[in-house]
Parts: sequence; structure tokens; C-alpha cells
Amino acid sequence: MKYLTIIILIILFISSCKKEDTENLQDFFYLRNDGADLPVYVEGNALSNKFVIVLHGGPGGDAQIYNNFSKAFSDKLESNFAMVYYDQRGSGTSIGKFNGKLLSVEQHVEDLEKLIILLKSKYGQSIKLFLMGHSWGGTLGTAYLIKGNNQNNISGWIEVDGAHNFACNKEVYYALKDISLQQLKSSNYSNEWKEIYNYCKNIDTTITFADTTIARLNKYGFEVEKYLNADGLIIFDTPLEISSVLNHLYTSGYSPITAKINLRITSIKMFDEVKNLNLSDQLYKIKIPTIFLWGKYDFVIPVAVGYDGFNKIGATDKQFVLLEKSGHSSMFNEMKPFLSNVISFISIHN
Amino acid sequence: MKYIIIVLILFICSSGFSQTVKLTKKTYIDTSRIEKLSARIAYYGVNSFHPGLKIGVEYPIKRKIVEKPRIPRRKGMKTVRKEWIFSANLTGYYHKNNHTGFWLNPELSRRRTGRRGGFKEFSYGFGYLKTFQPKTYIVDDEGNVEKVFIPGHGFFTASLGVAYGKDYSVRTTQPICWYIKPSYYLIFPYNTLFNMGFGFEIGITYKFLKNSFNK
Repeated sequence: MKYLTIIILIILFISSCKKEDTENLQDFFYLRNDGADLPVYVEGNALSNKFVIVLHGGPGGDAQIYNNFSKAFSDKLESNFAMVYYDQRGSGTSIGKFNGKLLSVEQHVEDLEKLIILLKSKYGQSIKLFLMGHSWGGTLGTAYLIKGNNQNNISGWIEVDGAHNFACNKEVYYALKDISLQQLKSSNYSNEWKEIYNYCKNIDTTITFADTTIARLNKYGFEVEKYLNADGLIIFDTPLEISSVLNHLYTSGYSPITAKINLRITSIKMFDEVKNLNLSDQLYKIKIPTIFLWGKYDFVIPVAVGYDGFNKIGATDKQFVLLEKSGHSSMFNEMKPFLSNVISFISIHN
Repeated sequence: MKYIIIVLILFICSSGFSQTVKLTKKTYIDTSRIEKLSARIAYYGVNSFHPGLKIGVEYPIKRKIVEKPRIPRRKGMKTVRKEWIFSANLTGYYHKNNHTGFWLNPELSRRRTGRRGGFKEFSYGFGYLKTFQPKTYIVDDEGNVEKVFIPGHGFFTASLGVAYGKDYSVRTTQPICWYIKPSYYLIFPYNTLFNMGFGFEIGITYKFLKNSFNK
């Protein structure tokens, strides 16, 4: 009995000495704010003292598609930095009970503000935080950075095919019309391109687009990636590992059904607010180092929107990376150049 | 004339031989064996893969015995049981990096048991799910961080299930059933509206009193 007690005490002592700020941190917790519990995964090299907060797409998407679902992508980033993957309210596997009115951009910004306070509280005030926003995450990151003194907390802003201007329907229209005309004759999917071209041709551009038109253009924006991939204009160089997909779906904290329902409900509930959201005239407030990474063949948020944002932000330390064979998810289309640019950007900025 | 007589005799004989008892369907309510409590234990997988354990008791509240001819009729009669069964169930499961759930889910089931003991069942449930989460923090408006004490949520649930199984007590003296049961459930209110999922259950039921339905 005496020996058993000693062994238990030794085990307890060793486990209490376990360092949390290891080179391979694996931490999971929830942040509770205004009725929502947001799952937060902090994984990777915390010794670097650099924490990259991933702002997922949507509204209503999930952060695990940049992590468990794509280990080749996340492992590389995690070997250099601590990655923070969190599901926004009403997204991914976030849980809670709250009024639908709290599904707003303002509330999302508040959630992010509190997450940053929590991260600093847990891992030290000296940690360097970077934001990496993809698609809708670009809107959220922009909305956070232009508010008050928020950007003082952030060492760098990585905008990936993001939408500082969600009301960019005309740009989507022009981009889709041009590419469909270009691909009409040469593509293996000429019938599909013809349908898109004919649809665009019949849109009246002198009036504000109807919601159905916006939704249809958005749908085409995603669909064309399949055709462009078949025609060799877009590539996918992120290896899809069956084991990581199965792990993602069945043994991780992820729940595909919950994520799908959340995506559907949240995107519908936020549509009215987001469809007209344009932060272009406030981009001058962003002064921190910024990198824009954009797919040349992004027809969800066309590259013209990226150049517009790049020209309007107030930062002097800024760069624009155009990925020539990428669509809307350039991190998975051209993972290697994407990662080298991001890692280099974070490494040189403190 | 001789041939006519032979044909008539054959006809009369064949009519006589083909006479059988007329088989008719009979239905009656069985009240004598209604008080049969059973206990069940099952593996319960939330979305099939997040492991859990389900325990419960079931009690038939109404039972109808139907005797009807088998097809083809020459095989005689068969006895089918149709029951309404009330069950009270408690399920515990673990979803890694998400939550641990305890689910109290009373169900009302309509079960049809065939002459060999094979049964199918439709279940309708309405219950309450209590979840317990891993560490959860709250940040107040002044920026103070606090850890939440026993974090989690409570939700109402509605469920539908279809079970297939075999009741060995129908043809033998073993008071045991096995069953598999895929189910669908709705959780509400969840975030701003609802959540749903699928469960897969495989388990056994033990009858405390022997049923002898072999008629």
C-alpha cells in the first residue's frame, strides 16, 4: 500500500510538471461568450511564441478543414507556429443557445476580441498573434482590425481570397462572364460554360442584383473550379489522406452533420447583413503588416476585389501574392507556394 | 354409361378429399401476459462512431395477438404479436474534444413479432440531453478570464428509430432478445435553432418473466 501511494504521488508529480508550452502543443478548450461555446484548438509549435488564428470561411463554415482534414497543410504550419483553429458562433461544432440576432458581424468581432484576450491570458501577454482569414474570414478579420485599437494586438494580417467587400456581385458577374466566354470553345465542359455565359448575358447590370441572382453567381463561382481543374487551369496539390479524412470525420471533435446544419442555418441568417457589407472605405485604418494571397481563378471573390483591398489598406508593409493556378481556396490549390509565402511572412514579422 | 359413373364417383371423391378446415383471421387482446418487464443494454454510437452505452427497461402496455393463415394456406395458421411498448432509457456517450452526453430518452414503440420471434419495431422518443464539456472559459467585458464550473448544456430531444431483432422467448425458453436499431434524433434549441444526428444501437434485452406465446 505504501509503495502504491508513492507510485501515485510520483505519477501526479510528473503530470503536474508537464510543460504546456511545448514544441508540440495540443490544447483544446471552449470559449463561452453571449450564449455560444466556441471550440478552440491550439496546436503546434508554441515555443515560437507566434500564434496564428485561423478565421474560417462561411459565414457558418468550420476551422477543421484547415486542420484535421488537411494534415499536410496544417502540419507544416504547426511545425513552425502555434495554430489556433476555432469555430465561430453557429459554425462547425460550436454549441450553445442564443438569439439569432447575435449572428451578426459585430458579435463575431466581439467573440474574436475575447478569444484574443483568452489566448493572451493562457499563453502569456508576450505572444505574437497573427490573423489568417479565408473568404468570409477575410471579412471578419477586416472588421476586427478596423475597430478601435484592435490591430495593436495583431502582428500581421494574412488575407486569403477574403471578402472585405461582400457586395462584390458585379465583379463576380464580370469575371464569370469573361471566363465563360474564354472557355466556351476550348473546354471539355463547353455546355456548362455556355449555360453560365447565357445566364450572365441575360443579367441586367443596371439594377441591384436580386438575392437569387447573387446566390446563383456564388454557386457558379464554386462550380467552375471543377471545370477549370479539368481544363488544367486550377490544380490541387494538397494530398488528401484517407486516414486524416476518417480521423476528421469520426474520431476528432468534428461532427459533419452538425457542421452542415450550422453552415446552412448561419449562412441563411447572416445573408441579409453580409450581402451588402462593404468595408472598402475603412481599409485605410489597417496599418499592420499585411499579405494578400489570391487565386487567379477565384470566381467567388474575384482577384479584382483583392487588388482593390490591397490598394486601399493603410499599411506600408504589404505584399500581394497572386497564385496562378488557384481558385477560391488557394491554400489547397497551390499549397507549397502558399505555405512558403505565409511562413516567410510570419517569420519576418514580430 | 360405365364411364360416366366412374367420372361421377371420382368427382365426388375428389370434392370430399379436398374439404379442409376454413382458415380465418382472429385477433384478440392479450391481457394475461401484459406484465412482462424487460431490461436492455446496448452499445450506442452517436453518429455511429462516438461510443456510448444505453441501458433501459421496457414494459408492454398493450398487446394484440393476431392469428391468421399462412401463405399458402395449406401451411396452417401463424401467430403474430403486435405490441405497444413503453421504455425508459438512459444513454451515456463520449465525443472526444466535443462533449460527454447523458441522455434520458423515454420511448414508445410499436413492435411486431413474427411466429419465429423475429421482430421489427418503430420507436418514437422525446427526452432530455445533458452535455458536459471539456474546460470552458468565459471572458467578461473587463477582460477578466474565468473558468466555468462544470460546463455543459441541456437540450430537449426527439427521436425516431427502427429496430430489427429476434426474440428467443417466442420459440424457446430463453428470455433473451437481440436487436439492432438505427435512429435519428433532433436536439433543440441548439445554437439558434436545432441540431440533429444519427445513432446506431446494438443490444440485448432480458425478459424477467418468461413469455410463452407459442400458441
